[in-house]
Amino acid sequence: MVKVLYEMNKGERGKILAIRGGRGRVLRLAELGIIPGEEITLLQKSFGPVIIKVKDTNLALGRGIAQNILVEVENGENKD
Amino acid sequence: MEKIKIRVALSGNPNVGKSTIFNLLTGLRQHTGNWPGKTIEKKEGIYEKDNYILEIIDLPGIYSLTSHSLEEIIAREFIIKEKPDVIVVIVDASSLERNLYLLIQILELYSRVILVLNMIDLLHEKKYKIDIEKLEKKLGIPVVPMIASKGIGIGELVDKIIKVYKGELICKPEKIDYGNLEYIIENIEEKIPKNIDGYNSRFIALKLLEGDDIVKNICKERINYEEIEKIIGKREDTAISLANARYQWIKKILMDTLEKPKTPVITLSDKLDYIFTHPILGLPLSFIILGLVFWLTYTINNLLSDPLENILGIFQKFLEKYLLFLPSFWRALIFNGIWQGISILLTFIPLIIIFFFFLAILEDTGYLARVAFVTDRIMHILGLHGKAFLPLMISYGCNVPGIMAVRTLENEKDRILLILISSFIPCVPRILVSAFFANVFFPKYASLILLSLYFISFLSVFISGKIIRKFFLKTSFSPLIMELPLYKLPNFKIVGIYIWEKLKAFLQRAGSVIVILSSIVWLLGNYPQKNIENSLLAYIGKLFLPLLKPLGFNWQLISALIAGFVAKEASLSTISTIYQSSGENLRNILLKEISPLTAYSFMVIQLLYIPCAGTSATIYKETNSLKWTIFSIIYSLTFAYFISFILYIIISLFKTLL
Repeated sequence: MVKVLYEMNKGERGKILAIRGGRGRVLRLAELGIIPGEEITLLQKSFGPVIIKVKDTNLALGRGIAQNILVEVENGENKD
Repeated sequence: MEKIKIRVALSGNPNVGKSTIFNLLTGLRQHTGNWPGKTIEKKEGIYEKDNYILEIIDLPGIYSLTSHSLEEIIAREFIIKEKPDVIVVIVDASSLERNLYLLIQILELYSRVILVLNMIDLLHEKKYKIDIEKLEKKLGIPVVPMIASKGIGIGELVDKIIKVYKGELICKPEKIDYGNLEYIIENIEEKIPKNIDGYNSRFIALKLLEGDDIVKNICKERINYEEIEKIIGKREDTAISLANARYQWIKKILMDTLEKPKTPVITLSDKLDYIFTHPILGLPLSFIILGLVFWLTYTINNLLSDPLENILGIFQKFLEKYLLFLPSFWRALIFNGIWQGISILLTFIPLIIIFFFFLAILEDTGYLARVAFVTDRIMHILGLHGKAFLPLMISYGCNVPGIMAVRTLENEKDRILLILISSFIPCVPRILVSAFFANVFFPKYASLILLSLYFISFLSVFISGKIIRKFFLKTSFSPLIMELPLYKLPNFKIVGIYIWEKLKAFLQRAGSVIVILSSIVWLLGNYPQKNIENSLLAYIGKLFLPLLKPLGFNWQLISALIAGFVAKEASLSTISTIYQSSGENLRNILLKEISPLTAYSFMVIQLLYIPCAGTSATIYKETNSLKWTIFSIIYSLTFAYFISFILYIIISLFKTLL
């Protein structure tokens, strides 16, 4: 199932499908490991930003960014 | 025998322990400055071993070598222009995959590189296994495992730096294969010289494909750029393809050198994060922890301020005895003008030491990043993000440490905005002056009046943030993108060095400004005659009277405001000097001379009108720009004037209506 990162549930995993945004923003995120094809886990949601795990790093992303990342979520409630 | 100098540059992502390694190597033999014309800190230091002197420069923390940020441009230009003898790239061993991305780009520019795998203990905590020899072979450069916070691995690093310098260790980095992009890269390389401004042709080709504006402009000046533009074409996704190729290459390197457990280990950091970043518990917890830091900082500072003042007093008496031969005007200038400035400067010392002790611990443990996460939502109301929370909060005590804490933000324009709006946060002295007036004029509603002042300052932060962003910085606050480093224990030796460096930089660069400004204000009040009524201060007060007369001001109030520039509480003592009375007498005089509405306008102006001398000096030190310092002063003066004027009119209207 495809979801916007911001709407993923805590603990859900998936693969990044696409990132919307200007060239600079997209490249900046790529340098932090947020790049299409990469595996991503949503670790924590607050009432604005989210915490994700990508390439062994925990990153906090503001809501504006989390709303622009599309993720193909693993549909495995039975997993883990 | 002449010692041999080796110039070493430290590079790495933010939060990898780069400054810890820098501090361990250089100790107190370091110097902090700014990169020319930039708000970014430049740290240099030396380390001696046997016959060698290592001249170490700490490059700004970066994720990449593109030209997104000033930090990246500085690092890149330093490498090609200064050509250090050895570059040490420091990475967080527990998140190698992401960290090696920067290494690759540095290797594309430079080959005498040593890789430091810092925090190797955290890698073990995650139950990862790494084969260092194999990694060295695959990368083609020396690798040093390290636990910088415990000082482990520093010796080995120094040995390897010397060996690389002597040529005993050879760096032959593996070239990255960009797959199907290789042929475009080669095509571009053919069109450009082997070397432009110190950049090699391959690096130039890669940066052009990434859409790097600086490199593009360099090329446009030298060669026929249109031909290259044809090759690049309208490809929008090449930058991402390059990034992908780099990550693929990293995966290949790590495939049989880094072994991860099948199921990820839940580390202590994960458990702590469950509590500290909890959507409901996280925010109140951060309020409690930071509230405690705030309380401790100002409580300890107040405990120390009395003894400090006594010591200063003794010292002053001592000095006075030896300077009796001077004419009385000069004696007065020295003791009431210059010495007062020095005392103000010295009273900042305990505050800075205590605050930076806590800040270092919050930062080193990794908790500060969590604070930014949990407060991000509420800071959005102000158009800021979570990293702005601590600097603004600490400004409620005193703007000076608040503005110094702005350094924790990455983006230069964000830092400038935050510095400018910080001075609208009412510090304790401003509230004390307001409290005095509130008690005189509105004894029954004093606390309500103070509350309204806090509200006005909050509104001013909000409105000014919008105005400055829109008309002066012309950019919005960057959204939060922040790494959450693993929690770790701080190293107290490093914390000590950190505090010392902050204090030294403050005294050196803000010190003279504070002393000069307060001497000038003293002169205004005592020249040409010692009598304040005939002084320049009174003269200037009368000069500006037409501007503030509509609000019911007299020259005495304006002179008090001018004196308040030295330190906000000075406006009160100046009023007392002018009216030559204090306590109950002063109360009665004020009640007779000023209407309550004028008193309220005075409080509002006093709240917002100008950053005090200490704050102005700190703004100058932190922005490294006279332009922004003057802007801050003029902007706040204008803003305060308009706000109090508008409030005066609104309240007057209400009064006539009621």
